[in-house]
Amino acid sequence: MINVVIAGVGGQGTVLASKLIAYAAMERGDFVRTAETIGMAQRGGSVLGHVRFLTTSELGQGKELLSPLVPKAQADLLIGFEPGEAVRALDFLRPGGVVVVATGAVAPVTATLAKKSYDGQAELAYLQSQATSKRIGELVMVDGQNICETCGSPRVLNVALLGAAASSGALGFSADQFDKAIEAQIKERFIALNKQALRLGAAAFTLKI
Amino acid sequence: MAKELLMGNQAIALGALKAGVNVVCGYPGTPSTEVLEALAARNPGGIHVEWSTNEKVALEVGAGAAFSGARALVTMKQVGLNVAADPLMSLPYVGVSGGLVLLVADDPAPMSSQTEQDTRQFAQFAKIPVLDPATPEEACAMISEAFELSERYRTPVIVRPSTRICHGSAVFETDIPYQPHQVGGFERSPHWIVLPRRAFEGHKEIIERLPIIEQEFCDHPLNAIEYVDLPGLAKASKITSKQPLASASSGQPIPRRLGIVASGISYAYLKDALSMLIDETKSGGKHGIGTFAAIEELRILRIATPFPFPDQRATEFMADLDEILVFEELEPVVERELLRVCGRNHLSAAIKGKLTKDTTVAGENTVNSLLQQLSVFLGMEDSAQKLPATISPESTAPELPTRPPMFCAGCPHRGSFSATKRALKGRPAVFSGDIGCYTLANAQPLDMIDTCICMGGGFTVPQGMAWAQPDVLHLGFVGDSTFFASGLTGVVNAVYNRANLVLVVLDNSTTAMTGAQPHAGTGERMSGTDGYSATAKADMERDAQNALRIPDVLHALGIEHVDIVDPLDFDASVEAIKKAVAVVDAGNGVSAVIFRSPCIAVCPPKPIPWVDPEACTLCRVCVNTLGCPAISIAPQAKTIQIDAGLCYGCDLCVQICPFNAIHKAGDSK
Repeated sequence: MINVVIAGVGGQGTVLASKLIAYAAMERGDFVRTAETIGMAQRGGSVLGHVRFLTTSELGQGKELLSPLVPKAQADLLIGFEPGEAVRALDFLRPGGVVVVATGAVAPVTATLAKKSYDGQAELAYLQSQATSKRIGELVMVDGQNICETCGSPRVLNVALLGAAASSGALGFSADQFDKAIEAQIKERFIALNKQALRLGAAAFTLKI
Repeated sequence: MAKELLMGNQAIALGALKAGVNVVCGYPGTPSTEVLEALAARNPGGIHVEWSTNEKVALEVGAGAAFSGARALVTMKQVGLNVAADPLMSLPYVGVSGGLVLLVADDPAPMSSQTEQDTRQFAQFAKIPVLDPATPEEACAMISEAFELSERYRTPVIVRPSTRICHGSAVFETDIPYQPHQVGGFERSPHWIVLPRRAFEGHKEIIERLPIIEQEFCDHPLNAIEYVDLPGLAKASKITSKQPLASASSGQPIPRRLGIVASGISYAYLKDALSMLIDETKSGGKHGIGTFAAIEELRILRIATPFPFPDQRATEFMADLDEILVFEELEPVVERELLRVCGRNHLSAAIKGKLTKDTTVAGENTVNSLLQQLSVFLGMEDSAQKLPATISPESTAPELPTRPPMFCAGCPHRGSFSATKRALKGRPAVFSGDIGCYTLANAQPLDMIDTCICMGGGFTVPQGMAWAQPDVLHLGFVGDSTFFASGLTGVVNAVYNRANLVLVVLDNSTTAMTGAQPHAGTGERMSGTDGYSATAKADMERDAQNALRIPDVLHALGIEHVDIVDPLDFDASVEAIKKAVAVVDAGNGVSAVIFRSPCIAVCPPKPIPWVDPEACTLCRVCVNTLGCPAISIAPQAKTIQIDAGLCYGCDLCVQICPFNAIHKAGDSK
């Protein structure tokens, strides 16, 4: 079973990201469950997405998957759409799991109002310390802003992070597996853009360190 | 077969298609909304799908269809059932002809609701059978079952999924041929008229049929008893007679016979948590929580039909048990029923759950909460600090900023509230709010909504406040969908009783909080009169012409001063509020302002403004007035910055910057 937790801010495209992972796994014949944050909490608040899937061989062994929520310390992969939210959700990660995180911070209005500058640097440093101590098995930091600028759209961060996540091997399939999911789930005029972001995200993993 | 990844709510829609549903009505409400939307999207033609004005209207429309022999599905969230309570209570008395199924979604640890009420209790109160799914697959299958039950016993039936089922996705076969249920037609009969004499007869009929339904539920395959094969214990088998207990004199604890009962999604969590604990025991207790102790037997009862409660099945389950732990969310409905069954049958099992504080009393259950509570129940060490699943975050982690929900960047409500605040600067005023995105005006820095209790309360609560405290200015805020759902009677009351207050309608041309549904004020429908999927251009144009106009409605209800203003025009909005307040100050009764600008979910973004770093003094007026998530302080800079990914181009910051440092896209300094 593969457990994925997606942590971000409402409006960042986390719901679509978990849908794409689920769709890609389903295309492969896996049994999938997801859970999303939808409704009031979605409006600029912290949001969590859960994706769990059983491979065909696990299904063959009669394994069951009923609960859509990933228990704490059971996630193989945590995708953080911004540094603070990645840290907030870190207790979902199993010891030695993979973290893919966008380096760009989303400053909450509460911080701006409190005259606190929040740039995510302390949170990224903390994640790095956790990678050093092997609490995090593999830490992939993605410069999402750069990819968005290259693609000419601020709204492809989610797919870029999926590209990096797939390249890390934590999903058990490659970035190419997302192509069909993108074609099925995204409006036609944005497909090429998202495929470009997917490839750039996948390359970001390869280029890491 | 085509396979699709479907959200629980879409799967429920699939279940309704399978059941040949004829009429579908509801009112949007998280987490129920997508059921009706999915039915509209998959309408093969011939199904009437409508967003009704509110839940009471929806249930009455659905009841009418069922009186005429159609299969009707009525969808709403749990608090919507409060609105529909009037017809709900009478319906079991008059009964139905075609099946009438209510899909009522509960919201534990409210993600989008004002209460943690439990629909299973409402079902008990109204004496209506209720089905409680544990997965989206079950929720889908239960729709057909509910229709059959409804027709077999002439009663409405409730299906109650919770948020994690509604918004959880799974894979479904979607090649479902739609065979419409044959509508029998309305047949006149005295039982359709709920006169007092008939109510007495109806009550007797309900009391007679419930035990028959209960019998049926006792054999329900989902109300199953499972015997758990625990490692280290003798092979589990069904024990028919109570074995003599081991002696306590050896110093060993007496082995107990244990039972676990679960309802709804807690059953899914139970299966997960139990298998994790069994793995832990098989690994020799590598996390140091020990192994199962002093257990002779463990069995599980799933309750999928909380009302009428399957007494006989529960009696059989509990007969020789020593202790029982109950997992359910919201109210201790099953727990109380088990206590009742124990009392009735003189059973000695100790029932543990919410009432004894052995399980989570409020909010959502999780696999982690079950792990902790189960490990204690099963005689293991308290897993709270031992299992990796429950390790708390390390103390070295940086302190994270809180991130409460707030208005989206570009939301027109930000303009409505900041302009109102500016217009009333320094004047004592109370802002009564309502249910919708605009409740979020309560957040800093707007800090403006002072009361919020229910749909429509935004127009009525301030009337009472104004009678109690006439020297303070009172304003009531209601959104456009809420205006039609529950606001109209409040307007009538204000005009009739000559209340002194300003009514503000926040018209963003959609039902925004639930994800942009149309309503009477937009005119767009979910299916046309001839059962088409409402996309034909001619029909959409006709729908737009039929849209009810809020200013006309307010005038017709007797309000003379009705101002319409664009909340993204800050100065005009300030003026509109000042004028409306002047009417109230002059003692001329109710005045109204309609802030009209579409929700960002239903209009395209506009070009985003730019910041002149030389002119920006970091005075923070934009930050402190608007609290826009797209505006933040640039790191290592002495200016604000605008996030291109979030900004929607509302230009409110351009208008309020006192140093002319923020400019419209394309404008030069």
